[in-house]
Amino acid sequence: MPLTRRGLLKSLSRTALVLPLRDVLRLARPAFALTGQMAQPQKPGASARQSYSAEARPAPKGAPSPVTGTPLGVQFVDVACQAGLDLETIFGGVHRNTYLLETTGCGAAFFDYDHDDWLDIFLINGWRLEGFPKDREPVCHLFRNNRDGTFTDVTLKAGVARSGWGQACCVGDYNNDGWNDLFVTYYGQNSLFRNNGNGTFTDVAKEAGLLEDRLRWNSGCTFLDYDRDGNLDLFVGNYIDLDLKTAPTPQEANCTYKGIQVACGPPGLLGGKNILYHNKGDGTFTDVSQKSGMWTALGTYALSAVAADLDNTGWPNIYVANDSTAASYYVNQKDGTFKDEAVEAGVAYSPDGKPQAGMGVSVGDYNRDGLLDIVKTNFAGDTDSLYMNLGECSFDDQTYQAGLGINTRLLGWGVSFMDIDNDGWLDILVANGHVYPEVDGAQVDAPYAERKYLYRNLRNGQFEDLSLVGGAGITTPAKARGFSVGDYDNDGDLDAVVNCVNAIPQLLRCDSSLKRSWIKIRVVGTRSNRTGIGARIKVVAHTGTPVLGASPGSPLTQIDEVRSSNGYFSAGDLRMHFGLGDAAKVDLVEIRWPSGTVDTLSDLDVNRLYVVQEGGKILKSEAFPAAHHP
Amino acid sequence: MRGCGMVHTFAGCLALVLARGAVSQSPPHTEPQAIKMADAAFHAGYAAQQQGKLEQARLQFAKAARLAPQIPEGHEALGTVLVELGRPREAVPEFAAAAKLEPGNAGLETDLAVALAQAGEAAGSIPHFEAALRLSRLPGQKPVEAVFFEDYARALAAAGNSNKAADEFATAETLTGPRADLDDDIGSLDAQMGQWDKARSRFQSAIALDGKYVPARFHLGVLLRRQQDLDASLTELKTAAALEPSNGEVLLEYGRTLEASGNDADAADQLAKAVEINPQMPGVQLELAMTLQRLGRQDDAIPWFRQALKRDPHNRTALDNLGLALTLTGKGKDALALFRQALAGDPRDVDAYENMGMAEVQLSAFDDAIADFKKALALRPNDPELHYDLGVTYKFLDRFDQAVAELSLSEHLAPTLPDPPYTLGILYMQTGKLDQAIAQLKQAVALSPENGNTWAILGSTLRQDSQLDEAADALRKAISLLPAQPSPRVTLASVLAEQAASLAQQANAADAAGDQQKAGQLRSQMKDLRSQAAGYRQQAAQMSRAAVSRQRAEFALSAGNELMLHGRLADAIAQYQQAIEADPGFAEPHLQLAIAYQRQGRSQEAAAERAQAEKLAPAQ
Repeated sequence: MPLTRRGLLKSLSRTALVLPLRDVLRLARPAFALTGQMAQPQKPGASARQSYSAEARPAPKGAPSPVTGTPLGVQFVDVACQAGLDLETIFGGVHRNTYLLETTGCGAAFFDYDHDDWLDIFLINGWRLEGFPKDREPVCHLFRNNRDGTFTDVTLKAGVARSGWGQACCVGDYNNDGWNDLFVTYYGQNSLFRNNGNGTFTDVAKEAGLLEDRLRWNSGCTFLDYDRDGNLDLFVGNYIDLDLKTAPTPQEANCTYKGIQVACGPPGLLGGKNILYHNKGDGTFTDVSQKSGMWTALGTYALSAVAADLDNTGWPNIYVANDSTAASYYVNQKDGTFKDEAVEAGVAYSPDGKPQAGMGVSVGDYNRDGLLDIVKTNFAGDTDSLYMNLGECSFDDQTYQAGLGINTRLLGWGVSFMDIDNDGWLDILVANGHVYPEVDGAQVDAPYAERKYLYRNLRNGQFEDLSLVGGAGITTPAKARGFSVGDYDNDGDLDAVVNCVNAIPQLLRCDSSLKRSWIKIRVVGTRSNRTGIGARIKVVAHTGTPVLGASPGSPLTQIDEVRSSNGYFSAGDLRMHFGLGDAAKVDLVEIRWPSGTVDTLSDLDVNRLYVVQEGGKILKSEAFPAAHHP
Repeated sequence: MRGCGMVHTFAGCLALVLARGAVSQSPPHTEPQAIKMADAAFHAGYAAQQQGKLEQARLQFAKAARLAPQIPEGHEALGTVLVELGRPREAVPEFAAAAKLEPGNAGLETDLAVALAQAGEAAGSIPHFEAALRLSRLPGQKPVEAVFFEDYARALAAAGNSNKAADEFATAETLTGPRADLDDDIGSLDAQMGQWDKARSRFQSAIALDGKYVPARFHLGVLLRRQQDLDASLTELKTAAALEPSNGEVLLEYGRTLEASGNDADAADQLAKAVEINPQMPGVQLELAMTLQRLGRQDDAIPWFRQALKRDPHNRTALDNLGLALTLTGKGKDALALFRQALAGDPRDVDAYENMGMAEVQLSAFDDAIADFKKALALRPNDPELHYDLGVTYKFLDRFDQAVAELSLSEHLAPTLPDPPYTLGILYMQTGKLDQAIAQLKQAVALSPENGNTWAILGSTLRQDSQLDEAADALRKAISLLPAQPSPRVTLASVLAEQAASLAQQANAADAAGDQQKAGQLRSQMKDLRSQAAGYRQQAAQMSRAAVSRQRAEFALSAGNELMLHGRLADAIAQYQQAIEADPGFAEPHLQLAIAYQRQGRSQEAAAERAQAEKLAPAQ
């Protein structure tokens, strides 16, 4: 029977209910042919990223929460301008983009480059297709913390003024010289900014063996010591094998999203290949991508990556948020290789087994069961994903049960577990912004600049959406991409710096009226890497906010890990922050180092930063002066 | 044609005429000089005819007929050569003149009849066939041969007298003995009369007489398809196509039977060959376009639809399906122009409004789509599918109440249509009305129990409603219907994990209550469920990996093939090796690698790869 109108309509209708119409039409497109490397290149066909239509649905009724209905107690205020962060981040066209390269934006870091325990800020910058006149190129910026709520641009002096299509950054002391270094990925050659310890940096990518033999779209990165030899190795995700000379334009391939012409891809474009560099311990790296199993992953189009001991084996694994395909979960085989077990572990797809367009990822133990869980941002029309760790390399998608299924309209990038109210329970902040500037003025139901989501942990396995009461920093629409979390004003609550596209960044200062305790732990490795990346920290305190069902007065046990990257393309405060509720002291701090060493400290004072060296020596204990806000 | 077969005949004829002239009044133009010139022209015409110079022959015979119009042989010769030249209509007056000059001549009546039949005047030819037959039966007349009956039968058939035509073919066959072509002719007449079994038997008889007689296989193949005996039809047409690979009509019908058998891929190949051989065959472009469209090759189908429309600008099927193909390839605006064209021809064309609505949905012009669906509904208010379309469009706009109303109406109007309850189920699910969603989805699976996707959605919805046992059942059903899809397995794994989590809570409660035995049992069950969940995820992972590996291999293979086209053998080999590494069980890259090796002169390696390809090929 020929394809009748009726047949088509049925197919449209049937599919449209599970997937959006766009998907049906996209699927009808012919497969593209690889031509990018041919003698006579032709433009391959492609389609726009598929759109999603997950249902927004509130969580089922959960166990009674002691938090529900109580005031949030914190407000996020954007103080970027008054803090001196008034330089616009440039990234692609303002109103229209030709290539996906112009859409993904870049990350940020709270990076204490001078080790004074006042967080400085590194903001990656981008580029435009048409280029810039000499000496007017946008460059990355490093802002030194003036310890008064303001920052000074020290970019030129520091030697980090690199231009180009900047993407992500991660922080770690790759040469164990005691100074944290900065790695920045690009569409093009990456930069390894070695911290010279005197306020300056030197890009040593070439000397370190990190130059690439061809043009690559490097994306999320993270330092990790995957073989636990005390030297930080480096994972670099790769998004799309993109060559602008052969990449299709929206007009050529008629790439559309909800009826509007937009940049093509990722579907139809060749996925990038992730890279793992092994640190040889002499300041140089070797590419071990293939032999370590990086290229056997099911998914592709890597965006953000995070390294964490997700299976409590003491060995770091790597979780990668992939766009439009299954996420990757590289499980450390403890022999220098990894195996992608995302599907087996239940962290590859939506609960219905469908690939999602992953953007940012963060890990944290949100239900305080001693296992690190995963939160991942996805595309507009879809929910974000919350994977609860069941142990034994198994996760359960708790997005709806936990209450994150209530929002599907906005498009998430940056994401982080963070205890915004210092109650000892991890909340979630999500930075949104549509990928296509063309949605503005179109009939698409979401704008380009979007507000954020703020979810408060109800301590019963669920979250409540308090976005609309989180302050102007949350509710003001922004073209957000990556953000970094840290306490830049050392006032004991967590702030965030958000990198936006074609706009100045946001510095979201958390103003809390809650008088809750906290503790910060910064670790210094000796046998382990100096930054202590991968160190698992356990904090036990009588916070007054125990797990539900525990006997009254029980202490709360929290865990976290020192990580080189977090969220979307960003790196956060390396001082692990733990909210302590109404605890007057910390009963126990246990540090499990990557080397296997376990240090324990007890009876620590609250509201202080402790700098602990591997072996248990407290190098520094500091109570910060009262916060001063300009 | 009877004709003046011998050159001396015209001279004989002249002698006779002259003799007649001696005893009777001389005709006005029968002057001896003219007769002499006519004779010369006749001889020259004859000589030219013998040499195959038909136009020259025609001119000479025409001259002879003009110079000696009273001699029938001149007209007859001219008629004959005109027929040979494919100009039977011009031959008719010549044969008529000859027959008038020589009444009672069975041969001339036959010539005239055949010329008329060939000129498309079958009805007019019949009296002359009858006259010829009557005359041939007179004493002393030579009886007509089998070929006369064949011509007569064809004229009868063309004149619509199939029964008598069949009889005349049969008469021919009694004269010649059994002949495949005559059986095929008779079979064709039987088929025209709707006597399918009789026709089938005749065609089979023709094939038994001559297995290489293609028309009989061709006709039998078409007839068998009509009788829904598709396998037998395919056998006949495949054989016919093999016997005459450049016969466009055979390939067209072979393609049509392949389509009817659901084998669109092979059908497209045959139809593409058919259209290349004979693009003038009616409907061939449309047939190919429709097949390509069913294969999802919308972009390939579009030019064929356009060609079909060029040949038949008002063909609604071509117009509609070109519009749909354009819609499917994101060219909704072009599609709209086509549908408007249809609407301009008929402003009350409901289908055109509906098609426009769909194109507008594709363009996200939902308000326009709603307006057009409503216009269609104004013309056909109780069309369940239009209500369905409208409901789905409301759904796109998140106008859930209106969507539910329209879909419910569609369901009411067409209670056996599975789509409305399915869609309603999804809508209710999206609005959190899980009970109603489940009821609708159950209705949908009852109406379409073989639809694995519906089972999968039902399972997922039951899971959301915490009806885990039922969810697991539905998902298992989905898995059985969609064995190659990983997603129901992933969902089932989630269900099992939830069941395990529930058991863990119960075990903790049992522990707390001091019932260690029960706690142990529950934990054992929990472990089993988690193990099952892990198994399903494992299967899903394997499926996904296999699919991705094949995809990667196909990608490298395609790249290798393009490099081969550019003569870059070494690069092509690298791509083929990459394809093999991605999917070692894929035969094609081995085969291509063998070709590349061969071109490099690496015969031994080529042979090894070829052997590997052959080893793998049967499994694919």
